[in-house]
Amino acid sequence: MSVIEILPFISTVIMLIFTVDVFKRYLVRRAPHFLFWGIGLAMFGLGSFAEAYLALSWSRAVLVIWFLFGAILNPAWIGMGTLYLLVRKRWVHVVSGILILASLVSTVLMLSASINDNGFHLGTPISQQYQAIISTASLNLLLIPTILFGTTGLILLVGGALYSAFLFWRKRVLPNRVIGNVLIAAGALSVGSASELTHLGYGQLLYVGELVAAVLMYIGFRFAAQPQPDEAPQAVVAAAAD
Amino acid sequence: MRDDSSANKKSHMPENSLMFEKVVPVLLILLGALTIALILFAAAVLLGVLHL
Repeated sequence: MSVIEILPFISTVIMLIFTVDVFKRYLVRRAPHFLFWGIGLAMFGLGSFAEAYLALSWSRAVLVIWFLFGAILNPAWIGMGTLYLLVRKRWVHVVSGILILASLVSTVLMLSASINDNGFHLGTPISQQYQAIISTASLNLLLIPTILFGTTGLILLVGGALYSAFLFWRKRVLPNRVIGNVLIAAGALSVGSASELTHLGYGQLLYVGELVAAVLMYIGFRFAAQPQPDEAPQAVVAAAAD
Repeated sequence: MRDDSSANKKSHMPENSLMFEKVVPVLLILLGALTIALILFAAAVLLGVLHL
């Protein structure tokens, strides 16, 4: 196993801790943004787990999990959480309904993809060989949801984090949330850039991008969630949300 | 008894801080520019301008 193939194991552990942390907050507050963040982060973690698994053994089902959750769905679900946080309007529920429907369509597309089991070579990261395993016709079909989900997630998550950071920075308040949101945006951009480079044939950078994203986003989330000394106890829990 | 002046300091940005005066605005601009670049790249692929 190469050094690069060890990285998904670390990413998986970090994402597991991150996901549990977010779901715990959802159980306390019952706010939909925590639910969507939690689901999106769990998908991210599943993608990392699949990469780790495929470094040890071949499984068609795990490849489907990797592509569906790791490459297609997770950015939009995390971004949906940010939309729920920033916009408290009814139309957001409609958007989440569209997301769920589009996710189901993508799942059907992924399950019907043509996969060549013999194309897999143990010892090569899946991000560098998936184009030889999934047929070109299927990849071309899956490229549309991959780009749409990825770009939507990028706009919502990074845009939302940068917007929040800018607002706090302009008001000169809550420096922890400024730093936290900048770290979240940087982490999301790290994996976003690595994903696009993977499409261009530089798959060896994906695992590094994911690990950097997992670390930066979790630190950013913890930073933004830090209680402020002048906040009431109730608002301390709410701090994680903004 | 709560130390209000200390609390106020922690919930406001420190004055004359290199981090908040220079580093943060530069990062916001750079990250925003990278986001726009990635969106344009994705749009170029979707519109068929760029082939993968």
